[in-house]
Amino acid sequence: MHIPDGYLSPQTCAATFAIAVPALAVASRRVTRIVKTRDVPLLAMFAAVSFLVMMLNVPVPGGTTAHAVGAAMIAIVLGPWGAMIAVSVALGFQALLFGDGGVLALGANIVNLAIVMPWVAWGVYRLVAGRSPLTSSRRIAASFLAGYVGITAAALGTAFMLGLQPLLFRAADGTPLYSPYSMGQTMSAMAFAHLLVAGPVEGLLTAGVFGYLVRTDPARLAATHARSDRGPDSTDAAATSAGGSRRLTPARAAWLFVAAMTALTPLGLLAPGGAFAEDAPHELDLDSLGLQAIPAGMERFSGFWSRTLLADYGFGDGSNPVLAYLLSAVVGIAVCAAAVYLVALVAARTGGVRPRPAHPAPRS
Amino acid sequence: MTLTPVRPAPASMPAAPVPADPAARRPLPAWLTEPGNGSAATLGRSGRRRRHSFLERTVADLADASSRATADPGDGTGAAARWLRRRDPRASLPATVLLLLAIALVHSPVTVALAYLGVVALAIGAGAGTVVRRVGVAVPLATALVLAPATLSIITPGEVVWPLWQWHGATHGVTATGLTTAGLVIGRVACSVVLVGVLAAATPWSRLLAGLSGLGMPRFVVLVTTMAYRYLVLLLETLDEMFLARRARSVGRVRHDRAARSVVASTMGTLVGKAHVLAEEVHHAMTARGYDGRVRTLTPARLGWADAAMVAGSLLVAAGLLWTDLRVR
Repeated sequence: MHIPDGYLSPQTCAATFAIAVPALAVASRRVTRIVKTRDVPLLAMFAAVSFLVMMLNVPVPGGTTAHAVGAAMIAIVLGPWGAMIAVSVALGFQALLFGDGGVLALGANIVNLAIVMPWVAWGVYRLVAGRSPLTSSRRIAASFLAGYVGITAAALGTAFMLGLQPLLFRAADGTPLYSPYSMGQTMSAMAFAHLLVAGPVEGLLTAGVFGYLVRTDPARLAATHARSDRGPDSTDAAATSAGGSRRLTPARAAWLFVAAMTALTPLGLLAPGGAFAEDAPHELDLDSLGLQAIPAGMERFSGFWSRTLLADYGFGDGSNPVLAYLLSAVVGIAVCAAAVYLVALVAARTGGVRPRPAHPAPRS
Repeated sequence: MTLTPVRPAPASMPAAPVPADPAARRPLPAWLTEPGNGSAATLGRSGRRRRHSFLERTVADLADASSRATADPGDGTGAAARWLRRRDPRASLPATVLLLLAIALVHSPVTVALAYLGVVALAIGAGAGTVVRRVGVAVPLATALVLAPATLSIITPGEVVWPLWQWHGATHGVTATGLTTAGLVIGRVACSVVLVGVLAAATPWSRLLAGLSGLGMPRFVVLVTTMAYRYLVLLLETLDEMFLARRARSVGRVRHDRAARSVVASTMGTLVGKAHVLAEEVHHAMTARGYDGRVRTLTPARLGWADAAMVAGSLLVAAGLLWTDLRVR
């Protein structure tokens, strides 16, 4: 999954460094403030462990390779800030010593593997694990999902960066100057490889190591699980306590997810045309599909319903496309939420579902 | 003046536990542990040579890569090699990045090919010929495999220069545009790996880290990186020994089943546990030697004229490369 030099434009590399450098500076300051002297060698050890895990490569088409990263495992054991430092150090080793991943592309690799992956994995782990006991199978499942979702998110980040290149950087004659694979190709190749191969590998590794540590040496997890079965997570030990009551509940995570997806909706503007020309049949490439004419049914029904509020997710006059896209997303979410709420309300009244009490009654 | 090549570990750092010759610490004879030479993982009951499992091969690769990294890869004794090794990393790092940037900005495969010839000449002159042999050819070939589909008209439309098949009357095959793009990317990858190889060969890791610290990398990160590097070989060896021990206690062919996955997870878990224990011991040693959480590094020496000349030379080469590219395009 490491992106080598040559696949990304210098502009993309600069943008990723602009994200990675401040993020690492914050992580470094935070870890320096939080960790005790005993955690310094621990971080170094985990950087070496991360390096070892990342050397297990499986080549996949689409410009990169798939492999376990270990960032989810490190995030669960050390916390996400520590994982950022440890994985970044391992990436630096690989770029400077082994030529695995580029020097100019180091920022991009840090963003995907050392920032996106540990934080996504950590969020998933906390969301799924909740306040369950340390030895519960729910935590094993949570660690598996953390690894699985974390590496998939990192892979999609990599695919996004690679897929942007032919969209943004071409020579005057249209020749792609960097990675030539389109967004659809990189996304599908990386998603396929990671959903089916690397994701399960990362998930199994994370769950296996977590299960092993729980079984044999739970004290190793004390730094990040100070409040689990003895109480819940205190990952980033002091960090959480410093953060007060900023707990990641399922509801908060759901709201954050919806907000992030809404904010990202203008990305849809980058997609040229419809997937199958569903809203503009004349855009069909008849020759490549082996067709003589637009299918009659498609032509007849494509304009069947045209009285829409935000046609093509935009205003009628085509002005402010980004704003219109965001507005469409908000309206769509509100309508869907209202529909789901109404269905749930009807189901609750007809099916006799009782609302859950806020505080369970004490047992006598 | 330059930074001290290999400085003694300050009180805040642990002593390096990496032995000079990793093989010397092995309990087994060297011939038995050499890959492909009759080790437990190589010969079956019938005496026929058997393929290593993926994991064993990877671990062998890891040990090999690590030994390459710890042994100074610079094999040149010429004047150019000595001159490059004396350069301050605060100069050689920006010089390398400048050249990489110029190569990334080039639009013509011809210019990239010229740049590749230049970096290969630099590598040979700097006594890093092994780098060229090791990665200068293999990595571009691997990149070519990855980019091969991109040369086809179904991925990169354009003038078909090598027809391969017909589809609904249209000719498909390798396009000129696809070949140009693939050539550009492969050339850039080749230049990058050789340039970084030259940098690694000419600059010991300890000096490289000192240079990064001088260029503004947080001291805490530098400390963690320094320590991680020192223990990487140790953990590699530990991992290797764990797999060797497991292999020695296995009868028959190793299957890739649930039990094997369990072994891998347990091995990684044990490695994490061992890393924890080692970290504790190292922490005690650091504390005993006066480590109080503050990171102290030597004040870097002033940059010399030769270092400035190196950066200026790289700037000139980069500008020349871009000028040539504009003319060739």
